[in-house]
Amino acid sequence: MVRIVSAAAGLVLLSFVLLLATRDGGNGRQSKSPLIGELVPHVEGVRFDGESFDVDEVTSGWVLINFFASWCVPCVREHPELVEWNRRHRLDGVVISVPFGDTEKDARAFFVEHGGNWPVLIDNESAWAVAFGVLRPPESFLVAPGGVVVAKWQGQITADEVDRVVVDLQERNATS
Amino acid sequence: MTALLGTFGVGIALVGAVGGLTSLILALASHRSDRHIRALFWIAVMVSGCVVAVVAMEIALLTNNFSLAYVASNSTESTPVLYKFATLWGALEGSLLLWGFVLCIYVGAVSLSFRRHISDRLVAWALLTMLVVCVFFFGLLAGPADPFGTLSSPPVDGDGLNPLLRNHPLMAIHPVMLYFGYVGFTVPFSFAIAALVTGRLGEGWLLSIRIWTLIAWGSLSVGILLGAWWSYEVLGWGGYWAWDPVENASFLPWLTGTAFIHSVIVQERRGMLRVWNLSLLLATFALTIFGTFLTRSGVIESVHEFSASSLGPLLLGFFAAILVVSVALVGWRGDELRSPGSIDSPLSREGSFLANNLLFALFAFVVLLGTIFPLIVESINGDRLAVGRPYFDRMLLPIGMALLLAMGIAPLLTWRSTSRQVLAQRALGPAACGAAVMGVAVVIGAEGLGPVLGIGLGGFVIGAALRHLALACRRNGWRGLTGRSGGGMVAHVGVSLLAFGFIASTAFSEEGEFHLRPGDTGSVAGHQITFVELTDTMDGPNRVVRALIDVKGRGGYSPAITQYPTFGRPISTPSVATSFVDDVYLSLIAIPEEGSDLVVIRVLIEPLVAWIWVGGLVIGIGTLLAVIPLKGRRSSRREDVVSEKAL
Amino acid sequence: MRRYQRISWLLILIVVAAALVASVVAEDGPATQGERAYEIKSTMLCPVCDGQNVLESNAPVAAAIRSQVDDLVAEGRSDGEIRAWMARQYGSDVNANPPRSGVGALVWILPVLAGVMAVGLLILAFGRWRSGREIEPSEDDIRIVQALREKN
Repeated sequence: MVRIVSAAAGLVLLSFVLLLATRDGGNGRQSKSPLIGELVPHVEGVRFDGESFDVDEVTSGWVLINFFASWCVPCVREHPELVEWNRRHRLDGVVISVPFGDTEKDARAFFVEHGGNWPVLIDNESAWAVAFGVLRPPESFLVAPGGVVVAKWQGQITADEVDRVVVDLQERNATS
Repeated sequence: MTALLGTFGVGIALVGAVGGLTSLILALASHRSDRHIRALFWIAVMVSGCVVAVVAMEIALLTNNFSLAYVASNSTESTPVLYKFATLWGALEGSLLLWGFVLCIYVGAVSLSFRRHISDRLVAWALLTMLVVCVFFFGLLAGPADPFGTLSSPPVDGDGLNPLLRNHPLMAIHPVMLYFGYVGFTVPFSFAIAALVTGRLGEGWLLSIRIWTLIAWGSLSVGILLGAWWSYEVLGWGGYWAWDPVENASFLPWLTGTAFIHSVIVQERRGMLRVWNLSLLLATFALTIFGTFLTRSGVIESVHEFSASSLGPLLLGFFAAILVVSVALVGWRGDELRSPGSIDSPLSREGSFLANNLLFALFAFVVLLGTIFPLIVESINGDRLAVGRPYFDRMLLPIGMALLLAMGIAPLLTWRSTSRQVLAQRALGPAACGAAVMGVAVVIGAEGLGPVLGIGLGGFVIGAALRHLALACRRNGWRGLTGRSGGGMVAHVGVSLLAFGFIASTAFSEEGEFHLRPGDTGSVAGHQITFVELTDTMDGPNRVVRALIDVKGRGGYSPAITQYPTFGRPISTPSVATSFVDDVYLSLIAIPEEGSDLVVIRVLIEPLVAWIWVGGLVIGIGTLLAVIPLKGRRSSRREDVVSEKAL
Repeated sequence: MRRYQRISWLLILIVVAAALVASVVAEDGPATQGERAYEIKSTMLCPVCDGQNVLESNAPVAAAIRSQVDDLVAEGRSDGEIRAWMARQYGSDVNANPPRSGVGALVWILPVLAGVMAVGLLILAFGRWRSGREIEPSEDDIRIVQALREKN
């Protein structure tokens, strides 16, 4: 009787261990998002320079939407990469930055200090952040020409990483 | 140099552990019981090596030796001395070094305590098992989790620990207590394995390890409560238990350990439940290793986890090995384990202990299920679900109530069988106490069926415990408070106080959020607060913004927001005005924008929270009382039986 | 039972019953819009926190979710719609409670089943122990007892 129960217990425990063994520990680089494959959420906003902004204005080209915060250390580290990407795509794309969990004053100071001349939005009530499901800065979303969200990154990114996706999609569109 | 010393220490400790293990294996295999004693030499070597390693790391931390990678990642020049000392266990490798150190203390103490019986095969097998665990941990420290790695170009200053680990003195105490709990269960586990291997499944070894089990259990209880207190004081949301997977993992061995403490009494008196008790001991230890695995493998995300590391598979492997060995041994001994005892009547103290065990087992099942359910579902169909606090609260509430009821009834029951009349007679006083407490609570303003019922049950438990203690003291003087039954009753009182605190702070808390200018006041549940002024200073490299709040009747308190340069988000530190009636918990949510002087303060009123910590203290005192023998060293079990029967 | 004991038990029963009734009566009734929003927020987890719900957390994402829930409740969306919307953005594990249907329902059912099984096992065990003790006296035993009785 004890034997039977211990054998059964053993089997249950063994499957438990197997379950744990197959869970993976780390976080991937590119993340899943329910937005991938969908049209970019249509949110309107006001830019730092006071102009109004509508996402439809820029979706004829590539759009890299970057959520950041001035207190976020990886954001500071990735900023030069954003500058680089913006330079590479000055003809066919644009970076849009949205402060997340930050005051407008600090966000402006961030751009004064680190540079970057692309639209930066004022996100009232975090409407953009929630529409994109942003968890913590930095998070970046790549929107292809036509307005479909094609990729999401959680954490610090590099220009090359983003361009890998750009080139990949361009090749696929060329062949199809 | 210090790095070399540390590595040397770890190496010696590993050599000692392996040497001890080998010498015991050889001695047992050759049936030369006079050779067991050689293991003591190797154990001494192991302990010395470990001490050297710990001292080396502390020297490195206290002298800001940033050439050690561990010190560079986890300490800074500006960290206060107490926290530098505590940084020993602040990160992964160091925490394992602490584990090894506590393990050495226990193995050393057990060796000393049992040195006269070292030629006994049971003792030898127990030491052997302990040494296997030592070899594992020192192996990790010597290899994949080496804390003494060096940097070729040491930085000028280190990164420092997460700021949440650097702003409260409990950082220096909670992990240590917790580890004395976890690691302590290695001792009864080893004896359980030894009993299974040698076939000596009678009660002798159980008695020998009773004190060790109580010490481990008491440390774990206090450790868990200190952790809750620390979260409360530091995290800012006013809570102390979130049913976070890692918290649950620390709670599970406590649940099985508590079940064991009670059911072992049934085994001593009636000789039954042997398989169950062995399983509880084996499971408790396995669960401590499971908890260690969870915090270091990255499988479940949690604020408690150390950085995900390659240790995951190794710890999982060790956990699997423990499970395999345990199940195999129990299966092998099989029906030899069963004893012919039975329980005469459900209405008896033995019966109540059985009910208690069933309830604890069910409790543990729910906690375990809730914790691993998301993992199971994800592996089946990829869905991501959360099992959050509301689930645990709802499912565990009835079980908790039933446990309180059992805690109250058990001391009123006699052994073997109790007639209903006797029970009613004994229960009168405690029931009156419970009813009185309940009535008072409702009059003061308590509402809600669950909370009020829980408070009544808590009163009942206290009534029953005090009745038992009063009778015991009348018979034996102050010694009535000591020993297993006296100390146990004191611990029950502690649990009731804790229950009152838990129920009141969960069910009756109130909250308010205020936007205040200097001089403005706000009020929640009869407590008035006034925002006096804001100060913005530099504490070393850190920017600290403090809001001085005057709490009417209690003085000034300053919740703050601190920006540490190497860490992302600013950290909000709450400030709490404590009293025995309630806590006024203040949290600074937002500092003023440019051109404004408006701050946002969140105020939480938590009734009776302090009783949780007081209850924990009483539980600790009860445990200490329980390890004091009833009538000096010559106390035999029969004395216990005689005095308990009369009660 | 002696008289004073009966009276005492009666008194205790009255006090307990009164207290329980008073506790239920004192509780407030169901939700206004603000309370509905509060209820939803208290069972929605902050996705980057240690098990805290969005009411308790100071994280920016929690603040964002709180404000969005308030907006959606004001718009008149149902609880289910709001939860589904958030789940789409942040993953279904943003809801603190697993759903009552589908695989998730297991986590609610299993503990109840386990409890029932355990109680059943205990009852069976007690039954077995009790019947194990009912021993019929043998013929010899009866004769010996008779003999002793006659002697006295």
